[in-house]
Amino acid sequence: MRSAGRSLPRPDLRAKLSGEAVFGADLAEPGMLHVRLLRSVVAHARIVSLDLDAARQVPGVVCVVTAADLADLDPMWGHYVRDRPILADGVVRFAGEIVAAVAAETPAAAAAAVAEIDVEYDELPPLLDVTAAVAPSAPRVHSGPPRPGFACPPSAVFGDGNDFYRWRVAHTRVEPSGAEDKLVTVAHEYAFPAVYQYAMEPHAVIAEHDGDRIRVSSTCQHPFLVREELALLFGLPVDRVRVSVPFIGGGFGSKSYTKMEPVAVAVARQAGRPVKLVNRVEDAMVTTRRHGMRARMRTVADRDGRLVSRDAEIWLDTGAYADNGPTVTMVAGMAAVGPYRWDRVGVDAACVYTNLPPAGSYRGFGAAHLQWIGESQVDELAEILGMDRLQLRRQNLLARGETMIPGTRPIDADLAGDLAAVADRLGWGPPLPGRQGRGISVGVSPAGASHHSQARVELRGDGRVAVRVGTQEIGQGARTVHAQIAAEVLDLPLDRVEVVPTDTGDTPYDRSTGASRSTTVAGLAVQRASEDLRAALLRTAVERWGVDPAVATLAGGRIVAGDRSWAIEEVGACQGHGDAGELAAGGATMPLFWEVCVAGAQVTVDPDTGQIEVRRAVTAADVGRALNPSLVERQDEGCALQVVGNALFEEMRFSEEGVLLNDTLLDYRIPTVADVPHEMACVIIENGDGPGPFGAKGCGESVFGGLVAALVCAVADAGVTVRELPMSPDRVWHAIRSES
Amino acid sequence: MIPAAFDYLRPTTVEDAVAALAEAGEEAKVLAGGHSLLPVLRLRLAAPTLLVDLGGLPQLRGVRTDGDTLVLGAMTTHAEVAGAPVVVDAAPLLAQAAATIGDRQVRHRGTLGGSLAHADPAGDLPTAAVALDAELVLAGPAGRRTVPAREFFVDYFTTTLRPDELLVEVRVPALPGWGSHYLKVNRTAQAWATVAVAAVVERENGTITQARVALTNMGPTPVRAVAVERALAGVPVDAIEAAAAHAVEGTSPASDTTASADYRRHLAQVLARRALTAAAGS
Ligand SMILES: Cc1cc2nc3c(=O)[nH]c(=O)nc-3n(C[C@H](O)[C@H](O)[C@H](O)COP(=O)(O)OP(=O)(O)OC[C@H]3O[C@@H](n4cnc5c(N)ncnc54)[C@H](O)[C@@H]3O)c2cc1C
Repeated sequence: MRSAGRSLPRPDLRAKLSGEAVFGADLAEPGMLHVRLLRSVVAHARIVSLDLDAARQVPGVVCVVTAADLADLDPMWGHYVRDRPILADGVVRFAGEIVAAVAAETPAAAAAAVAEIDVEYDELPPLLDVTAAVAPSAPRVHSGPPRPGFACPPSAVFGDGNDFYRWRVAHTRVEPSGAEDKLVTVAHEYAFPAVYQYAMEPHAVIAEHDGDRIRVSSTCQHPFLVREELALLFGLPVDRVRVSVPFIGGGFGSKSYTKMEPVAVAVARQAGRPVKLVNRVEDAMVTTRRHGMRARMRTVADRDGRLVSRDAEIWLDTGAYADNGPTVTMVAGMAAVGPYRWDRVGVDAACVYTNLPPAGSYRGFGAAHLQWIGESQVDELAEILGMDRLQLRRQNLLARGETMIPGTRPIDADLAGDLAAVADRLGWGPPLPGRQGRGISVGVSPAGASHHSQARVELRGDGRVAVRVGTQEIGQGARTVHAQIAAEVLDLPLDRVEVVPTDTGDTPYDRSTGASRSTTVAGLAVQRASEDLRAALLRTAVERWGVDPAVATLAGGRIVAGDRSWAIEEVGACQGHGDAGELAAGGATMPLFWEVCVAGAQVTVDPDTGQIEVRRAVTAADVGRALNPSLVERQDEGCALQVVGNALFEEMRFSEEGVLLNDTLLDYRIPTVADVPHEMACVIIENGDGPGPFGAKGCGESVFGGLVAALVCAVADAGVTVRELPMSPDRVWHAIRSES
Repeated sequence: MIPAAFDYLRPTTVEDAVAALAEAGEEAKVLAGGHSLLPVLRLRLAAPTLLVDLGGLPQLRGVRTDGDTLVLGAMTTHAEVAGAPVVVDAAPLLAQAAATIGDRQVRHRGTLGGSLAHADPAGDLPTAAVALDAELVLAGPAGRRTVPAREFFVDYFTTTLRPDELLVEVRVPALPGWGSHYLKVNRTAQAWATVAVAAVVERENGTITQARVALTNMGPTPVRAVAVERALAGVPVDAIEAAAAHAVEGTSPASDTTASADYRRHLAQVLARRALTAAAGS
């Protein structure tokens, strides 16, 4: 292969390094106004009065918009649950909820006007924890049953409490046998903190609404879903709504689904002019975050080292609005099961409303929450049984073709091989002396989300090829890989292929950029579109120049047939279409593929200070076929660094009133280059077994499942058991003290 | 957020700067490296109507010696404090503390004077100044006065500086033959200290003759650990462990989003032991 499979540099590298690349906050429209938002300062309250007079008097202010201005709409949005008003209507449910929006000629005027708005709140007691929220006497965050959103799976069933959605599995493969005295059990409670995705670039939207047409430029990962949601909200046919996307400065899930677009469009509608809304970090942190969680788990093995059963109860704090909470809950429930051959499994995962800011997708969701819990229980069982931890895993691991959860795709990877590769690279062996520890973990997470991806590949008059595919370049290198796929099929040098930014007006449909699907699913659409174009070119050559179809081929930008050849542009403009849809043929089993979450870690713990040093982090990228090995490694490295933050120190902290305390760059710290593990290694595993192009499957999220778990297990191996993340020095020291 | 509107002045003499401050009263703020002030303005914790930028006063920048005293201009950056050979030589503790501040960008903008005047209890340089018994020279309308570092810090973000005064110079007495060490634990690399300890030790034949210990982030101001110092006067080096246990006396650490107070108390003792051991060995 000439393009696919090589670590070619990104075509967008130059633009990004030189500052030429255009991001959301760089965009401007003629006559554009600037929007600033008034956000609630209390977590739960009735709005008694809202005085806008002074704000409207501020010079430069064009309009001040509140829920009262949306009376002609059904202003509730949410792709899974339609639970969220564009602007708070009489009630605020979290500190940070948008109460009013000002559009003005300058950002300063808009900010000044926001400061002039007078709100009177009648405070209500807030629910700030899942335990409080599911108590029988707890007040309801939302009254009435949940309204399914436009992208809610038809199978979803909602309940009528704050725990409005549950994902359950209760499966008995064989009745657990064996006398009680032959079984060993571990059972504990665990907690995972709310954390923030922390993309470098916060959300930015430019919106225009001219009565019967909406145009939006937004930093969104899922422009086609945003288009659908805006059409629904503002009562327009889908083809009257157009969403375009500039380069995105990272998302990690924070820009998935709809976020700031509804309020921006509502203001543009009122103002009758284009408006620009740019979140700052403190806004972005209350726009979406990772779910905090509490869980209970119980794992049983027999004395021969056979894993017998597992039970888990999980409560995910989705905040005041569902966002993608139900999906996160489902994936968390799946991760709780773990890839082992249980006799019996029972998992009950609940998505719970609280009065905290809404939580949604964040890289590796579910796996990040649960894999460490299951895997630390496996380690504890090994300890009790006096077995090697790796060996206990090996003898219980599911093989390719075995089913983890009834109704889902059987395991489609060589988990034992992946585990062995990581153990080998980590240097698995006898216990390390002193306060050092090793950990290794294995899990799988459902990936691919949906098979709805289409692409169009166009040959232009100049002999260059444009790839139109609705996947967003969000730093992961999607444009590079998609260009490589097209270049490979068409046998073109990479610099003759350009992946065009998305505009829903003329880009083929793609459901979303997430769930590690861009290479596998959208990539398959690009491959098929390229093959379609290739066939069209060859067909033309046969028709026009009478070449023998059996010998005609493409090589280096030319159609070649024996000793005759033509530049492809001689054919003229030509297109190919591709659809990944058939990916799901042969039974719509989900997920499209399992992302393998295998990683290992070695740590040193300072027992006096509680500080953890990550000596070594090894990750497995079981990608079927690495279409760009360097990008695969960078995905794992970047994710490993985020894991260091999530596992060791990041945590959104709320006051007793539910107000976010560490909402600045100074207070909410993420890992920097100085926090990088001493040694990082990514083992790329290529079994050619993915459903994507050339046998590829996605990567990029698995490290969140694998490495959080490996770190927790390594710290336990070093002698410190932690059941609440992050493993901050303070918490580690307390854990050491309570043991001694 | 965007700071509230303010006027901006860039004087070229200390006298003009002081005069501008005297005229504007409480409404004015001095701008040095801006690395503490700008966050304060952006978060609208303060809304001064005038900023007096010291960037046009090169005379306040740089390091020299005056007999046995190291003299540092208030506008000397953290990077210069950390790297200047005279500082490394005469007051290695100060250089070491400066090198732990934030990241490279912060160290190239932030200034010694700004750090002391800001008086963040988590700041590293205030602690070093207190441990070294530095003297701070303040210029006001009525001329100059000198304040010992131990008296300069009054409370959280509060010093004896008057609104019409500038910190112009920091004078650090050289301690020839003393060993020193600054040790800091933070939750992430490049973050502020959870706790840090500055230790300066004079030894003679395996015996500690005197020690000075100051603590970062263990109270509203840098704390001199006098109980530790007392326990270390004229004792052998192996008495450090027992002495370090006194590090919590007289402290009042906060519980915050970074750490709990009881962890901070524990850490103060661990770091005091380690810093003193290093200082006594160096
Ligand atoms: C990301 C980041 C990380 C940081 N990490 C650390 C850290 O780890 N440790 C640490 O100690 N600090 C840290 N800091 C703070 C840094 O050291 C600042 O530079 C310092 O606190 C203030 O110095 P400045 O020159 O920037 O002062 P400015 O921000 O300009 O001023 C600070 C205050 O002092 C006053 N002021 C300044 N100079 C004078 C003067 N000569 N006379 C009178 N008043 C004056 C100002 O009016 C203002 O009130 C960090 C800062 C940032 C942004």
